[in-house]
Amino acid sequence: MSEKKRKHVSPDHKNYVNKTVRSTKDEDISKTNVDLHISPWYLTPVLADKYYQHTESENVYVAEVLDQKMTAQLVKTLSSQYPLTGLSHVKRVRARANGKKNAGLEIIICRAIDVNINHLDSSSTSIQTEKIMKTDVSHLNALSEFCKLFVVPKYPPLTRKQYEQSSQLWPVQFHEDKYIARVMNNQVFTTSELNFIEQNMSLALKLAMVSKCHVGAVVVDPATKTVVARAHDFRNKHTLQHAVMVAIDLVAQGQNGGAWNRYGLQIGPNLQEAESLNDSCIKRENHTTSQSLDECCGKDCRLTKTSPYLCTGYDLYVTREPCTMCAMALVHSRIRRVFYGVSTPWGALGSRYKIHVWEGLNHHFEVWKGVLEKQCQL
Amino acid sequence: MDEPWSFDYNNMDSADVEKMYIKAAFKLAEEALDNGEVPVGCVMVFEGSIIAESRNTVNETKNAVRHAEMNCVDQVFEWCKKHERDSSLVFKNLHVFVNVEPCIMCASALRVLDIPQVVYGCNNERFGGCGSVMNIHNDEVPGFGRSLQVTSGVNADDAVKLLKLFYKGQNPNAPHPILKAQKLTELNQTS
Repeated sequence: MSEKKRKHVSPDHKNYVNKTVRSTKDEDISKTNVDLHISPWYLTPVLADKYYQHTESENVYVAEVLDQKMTAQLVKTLSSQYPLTGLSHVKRVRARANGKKNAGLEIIICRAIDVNINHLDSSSTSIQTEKIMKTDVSHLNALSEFCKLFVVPKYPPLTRKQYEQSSQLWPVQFHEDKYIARVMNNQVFTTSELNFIEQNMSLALKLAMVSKCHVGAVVVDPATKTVVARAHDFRNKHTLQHAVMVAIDLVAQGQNGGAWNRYGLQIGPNLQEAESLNDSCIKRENHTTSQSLDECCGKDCRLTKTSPYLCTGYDLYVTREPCTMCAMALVHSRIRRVFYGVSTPWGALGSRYKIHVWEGLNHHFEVWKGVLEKQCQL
Repeated sequence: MDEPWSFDYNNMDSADVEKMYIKAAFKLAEEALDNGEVPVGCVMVFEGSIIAESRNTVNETKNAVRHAEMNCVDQVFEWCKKHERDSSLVFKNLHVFVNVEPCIMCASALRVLDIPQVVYGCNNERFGGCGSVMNIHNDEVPGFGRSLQVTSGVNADDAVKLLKLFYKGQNPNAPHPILKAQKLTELNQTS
């Protein structure tokens, strides 16, 4: 199996693995990389665009501080006269960047948009400090006569890469989100977790293979490591019975709900077929009957002291990227995480849209792609 | 393509017919509210007659995707089976009336089915897929059919009133009733 897998390792993948091996010392994670190396797939997070964006900039006027003893007072005066609205991540003062030590300080007077340019020559990149700063002479004397137009980063940096880019423009505050950093460096999952992910996806793959439409999906409760629902596509019979929609309804059926069972629409028969293919792919209890599902839910109740609510706390594994309908169905169902194999041009979890991080929606979730990517290209 | 009401309803203009179907959807929405569901109702009209009518059944089915539109789509499939009609042709000539803007999921479903148009009451600021949160109705997406023609604001006030009634009450299936109560006070403060 592992020999077979190696054949699929792409050059990209090798680079990626090498990079992460170098960048980490954690024992558990280095094991992860070893495992990734023999694996034909690699996991890629699908994060919001804001994490990948290049630094945007905004114009400010900057003066030189001639009398450094006055710096604190200047900062105080300026922050009340010209607060850096929306630029709270930008440091007001910086050491002059001309290569020398103690080359003096520079201070941001104001945002360029705060200045009424009408009475000034708007094409000029430097203006007289006294024309924009209303303060007493002692303050003005501490500043250079002219201030110059500078660019500073418009938004606070969210990643180390963005921080490095931003810092080249002007010093900024950076509060690194440790989790996002781990996500971007692929340091989230341990070997056993990656194995678990692969197991679940291979189950979804088997379901996809028995489906005429070649899409399979499983819903997993990561707390108990049990499969809550396994489904495949029936869109050849019912246009909206995509694997994800079927899976969501099966979860509901397991909670004594569901709709497609009531309408008498068949969503079951081929699943039995997949069952026989299933072999010892994954250790779990048999949840094919509603009774055993009830037992499973009962166990959950004792564990969490609440009854299961929709797909809260559950992970979905689907062989290809869900469409907008399925992606929004997962938002409505409060899914915890989604893992998919291969991207689709119409996909709504990374390709056409990123519904899982859409601003204005009340539920966001994590998305990872690339699990068994080659095999999922059915 | 002829609008069904332009020849089926002699003395009514299309706006009246729209209102009539929206009222039918509204009745179903009231039924949803009586059953503790988000008050959304939907009717689907083919060749001048209602072939599907349903409401939100999310709490009843414990399935968050069982919106009125999705239930109606299932009924259309049943109707097609019963009357031996090609479902894809029926959907291509179907008219959808719903008291609240279809959500992103339902708008996508309408696009996937190549349904030509939808008439709705009030906007759905939280989930709306026809302009409020996303523009699923006319975005270019590979695999989607024609863009969806949208008529909004038909009896919108009634729909808003009904939604407000729902949010004054509480969703019995929601896991955090305290949060709901907090939201309600915020809502009251802002309104």
